[in-house]
Amino acid sequence: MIEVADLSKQYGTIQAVKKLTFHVDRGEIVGFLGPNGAGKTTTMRMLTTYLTPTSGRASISGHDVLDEALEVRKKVGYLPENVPLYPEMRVREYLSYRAQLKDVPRSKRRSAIDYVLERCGLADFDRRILGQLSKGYRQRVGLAESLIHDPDLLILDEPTAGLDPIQVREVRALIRELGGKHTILLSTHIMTEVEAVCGRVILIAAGRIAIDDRIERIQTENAIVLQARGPENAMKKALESAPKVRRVTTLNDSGGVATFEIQTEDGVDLREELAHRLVHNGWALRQLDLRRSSLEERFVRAVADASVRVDQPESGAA
Amino acid sequence: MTSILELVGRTEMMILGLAVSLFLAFYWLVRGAPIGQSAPAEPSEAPSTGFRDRAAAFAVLGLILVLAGAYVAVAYGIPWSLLPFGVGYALIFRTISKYSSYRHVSPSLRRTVEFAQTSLRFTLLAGLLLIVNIFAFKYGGNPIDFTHDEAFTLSTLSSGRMQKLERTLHMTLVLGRDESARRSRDRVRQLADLYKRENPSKIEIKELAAFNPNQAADLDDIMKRNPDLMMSRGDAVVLEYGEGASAGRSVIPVVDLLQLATPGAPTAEGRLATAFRGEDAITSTVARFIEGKRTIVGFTSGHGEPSLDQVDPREMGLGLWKSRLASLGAVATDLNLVKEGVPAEVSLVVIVWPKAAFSESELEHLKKYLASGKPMIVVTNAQNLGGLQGLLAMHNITFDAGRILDPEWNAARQMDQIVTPPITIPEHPIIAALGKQSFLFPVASPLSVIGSAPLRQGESKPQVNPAIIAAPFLRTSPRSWSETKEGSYQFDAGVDAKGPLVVGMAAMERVEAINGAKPKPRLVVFSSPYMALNTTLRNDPANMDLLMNAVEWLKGKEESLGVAPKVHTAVLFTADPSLRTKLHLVPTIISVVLIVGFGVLLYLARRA
Amino acid sequence: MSVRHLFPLFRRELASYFLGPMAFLVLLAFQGIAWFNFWDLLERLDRNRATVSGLRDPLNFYLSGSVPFWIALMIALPALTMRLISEENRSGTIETLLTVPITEGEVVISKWLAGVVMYIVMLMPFIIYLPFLYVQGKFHFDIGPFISLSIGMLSLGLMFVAIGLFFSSLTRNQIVAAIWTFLTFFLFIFLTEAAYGYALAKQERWAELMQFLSVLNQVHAFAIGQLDLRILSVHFSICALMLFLTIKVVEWRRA
Repeated sequence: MIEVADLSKQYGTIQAVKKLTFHVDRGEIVGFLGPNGAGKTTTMRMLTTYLTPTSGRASISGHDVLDEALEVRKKVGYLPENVPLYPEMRVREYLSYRAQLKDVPRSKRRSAIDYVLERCGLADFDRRILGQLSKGYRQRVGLAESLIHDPDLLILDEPTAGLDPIQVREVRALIRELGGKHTILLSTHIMTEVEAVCGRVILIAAGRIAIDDRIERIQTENAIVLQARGPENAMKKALESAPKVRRVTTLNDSGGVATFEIQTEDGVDLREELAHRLVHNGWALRQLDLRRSSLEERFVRAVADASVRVDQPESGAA
Repeated sequence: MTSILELVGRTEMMILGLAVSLFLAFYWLVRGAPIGQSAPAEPSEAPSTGFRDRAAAFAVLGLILVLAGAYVAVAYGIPWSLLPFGVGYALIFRTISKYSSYRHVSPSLRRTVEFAQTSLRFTLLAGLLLIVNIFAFKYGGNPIDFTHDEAFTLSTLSSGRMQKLERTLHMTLVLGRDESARRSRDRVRQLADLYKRENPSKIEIKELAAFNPNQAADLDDIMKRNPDLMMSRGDAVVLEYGEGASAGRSVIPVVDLLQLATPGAPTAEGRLATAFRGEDAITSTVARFIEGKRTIVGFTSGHGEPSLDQVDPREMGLGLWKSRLASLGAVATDLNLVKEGVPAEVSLVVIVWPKAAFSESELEHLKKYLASGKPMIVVTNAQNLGGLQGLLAMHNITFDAGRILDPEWNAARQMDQIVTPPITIPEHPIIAALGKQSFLFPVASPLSVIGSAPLRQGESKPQVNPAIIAAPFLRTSPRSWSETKEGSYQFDAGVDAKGPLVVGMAAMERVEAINGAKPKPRLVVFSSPYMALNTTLRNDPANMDLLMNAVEWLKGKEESLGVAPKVHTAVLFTADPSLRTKLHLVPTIISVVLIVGFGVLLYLARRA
Repeated sequence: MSVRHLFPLFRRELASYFLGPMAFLVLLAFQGIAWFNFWDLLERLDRNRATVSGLRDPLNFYLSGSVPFWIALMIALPALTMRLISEENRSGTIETLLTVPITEGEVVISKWLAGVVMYIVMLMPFIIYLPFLYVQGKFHFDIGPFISLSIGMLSLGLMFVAIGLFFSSLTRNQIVAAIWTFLTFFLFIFLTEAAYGYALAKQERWAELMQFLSVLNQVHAFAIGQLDLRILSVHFSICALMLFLTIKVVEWRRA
């Protein structure tokens, strides 16, 4: 559904998104997680063709965002951050207007509008004026609008921002429901939301992907944290060469002492194997931990790491 | 040093400088850094910096070459521009086709390709607009005239004259202190512009204001060259054809150009026609400049004829006609035939209202003059023939007795102040250009062609000059009649001749219609002694056109017959105050009610 | 570019004018000016009954020769065009507009058309009096100059709205767009006229060029019944270039 390779965006001298590479399969609900300013919105804008990437490729259903922008737009329903709406229009007028722009055939327009109004709980609000709607209803109108042409892919930028807890629950339920029919990429900086809604999470920090994994795996994952004295590169290679090691991330490297985080396949405990490898090579082991991480922990750690490792190349791909 | 400055100051150098600076600016834009600085770093998959810089340089060069091609095409001609156009577009197309594949890896190459695509679209659009503009400026130079009375269209006559100009024609509009001519000032300006458009390289238009101290020197100059200018206090158009002593010069007072048209004729309710004869005046003057000679018109004197020097419009003189002749380049002089014959330089003799008879010797002089093939105008009636019957009979023209009365077509409700009805189908060139105008003929007598009337009993067949054709061209209305009884204002059937009666007649020489020779005009007779006088001309300016057309026709130039004046029917606004109030209040109220009502309705409907 | 998108875009744009108070205020203001000018025209017509010339071109006194009209136009037109794109930039709705399958060209053209229609509506208060004058007042003025003036004002409107649209696309601040547009109109309307007067007084060669460029002169010529195709083609060219640039500016916003 979504194929992204080396996608980068530069505003003047600021690199907002750095060589993102990921892909999303049909029917997935993917949470795009990251702190404010991490590049989530920029990435989503590139995927919806609102912005053009500086370099790299992104394609949706096989259509390149740069070369076939109009094709991409036909496939995508987009809910921008803060849901910009025309305040003077009525709900139904707005949906009808957007349906015309999105080439919903005249014969199907009415039923499509009725369907999304029903779906988003707006059935009794179709005569309301957009400028007078509360935040939650604006969000629903935005969602209804993004659904109006029955897109393959929904890109939702912070769909629950600013909603009260009951509205948040309603919107999440709605997204889960929609997930059966559409591929959904939603951004948020709330961990629980990802855990509640998504099947997979892509954590993005400082313009790079820090974590890209299925949500159950992250929840159950054990990570081994290891500190040793020795050359960082050589030690990392040695660790990576161990069987069942999925990914090795350098957390810190200073004064000849490096800290690594090692993720193993299926959360296997490899502490002894790894310790053996280091010691065998003559590197001094300083610390060895098994850490059971919650998503929140991982998030905070990844963000902290990202700000430290700004200059290092990506350690791996999904 | 000076030669370098000269070189720098040349247009080509400036264009070159402009091209170089444009190149540097666009190069900076496309490459992301000015020349001399290193380009911003790009992903490792991107081609090398040198490759990218070359691509940018060629794309920018392509645009510069296309722009240069446009300049060359305008400055040197289209063939020369083909090379820069070809190379420029080749570079642009090469950029688009060659570097498009790098668009995902190199931002600067993508920018380069986008620049080339934008250049392509921009130059195509600009080229299209350039062509549209060239067409508009080439063929749209004359604005389309949307006015009903074609106020902004010059006659083909004028436009033909302007094409024939060999020297520069300077038209100077001198704005006088007297504001009386002000209302026609705009029309004069517009007229001058119309002339200018006909031949922009040969016509110079200038405007001088008498009240502007900055232009005092210019004004002095022009006054020295054209002493007539002193006489006109209002606006005047000074025409100067060429420069120096050989230049043709003429001053046309603007106040003469705008006149009431046909006040004597009945006009529809609320309409007031004005005639603007500026085009006629200017074109005729220019025609005279081109021909380069002056016509001398001799007015006979010594038989109680009205004075040529009487210019007061309330007096019975010929001054107005004289000044009109002068403004068209003809000189009107008194002609005394007592001592000697008609001087050779006189090309037209005019006899107006001789109250006393010509002597035998004078008639001999006139006959000799006519025998030389030159033309004559006679303006009088049956009561004041001055012994000219023989002269007229030679041209198959005779005055019938009586004075023409008309109960309907007259001026000021005086039956002898007859007005000719408009002619629907003009049959004679004297009338042709004057359209449907009416002319005032006070105390006129009917004219007839000798030999045309059915013979009465006891009459012998009159002698007809076979070499002359006399043709009537102006008639009175069918309601008129020729009153033979003194003091009577009743039509007596059988005695008085019934209208339409002829009041204008022209005689010309019969020539065999071989070699396309035209009949030579000889004589024009108007059968009212008053019709050429100041008083009449003031009341009916159309008479002036009639006289001038007769002069032109006799001079043998049918093509230079007076241009019909632009008659503008000013609609009079006759609404009374209450209607006026309604006129501006009703639409305002309707509109405001509509606007406010629509707004309020919309507000109520949209209120949630 | 396809026509089927133009209509909904155009309709929304036009509706948004009338769903706010701005259009009505502008219309009422123009109605006021038109009322005053028409009243003035009636007075002049009545006064001129006595003089010979009459009014050769009543429309010149009524519309194009009226200073209040031009000042109002210079203020009202930027006020109408300023929001066309900058409002979308400010509120972020541009993002929703450029992520549906329509092109930048469609967006720009439809907004321009809406602006042009609004401009025509704005001139309606002036036209409403003329049928009354002709029929009720029995003042049978020449229709020709009215037609040429209408064509001229339309072509002027196409150009002015395109200029306003261009400045609106450059910024997200409506006031900034309005000020730039106003300054440009001021240049076109009054500065060219002033430069023409100066050049004429100094007998400069470029007086003719200034006379040609001066909008007041152009409209004066239209109002007396002279339709100069060169002026139309210049208006059309500036309009086309402005629309091209506006589309480019909207496209560049994506980069």
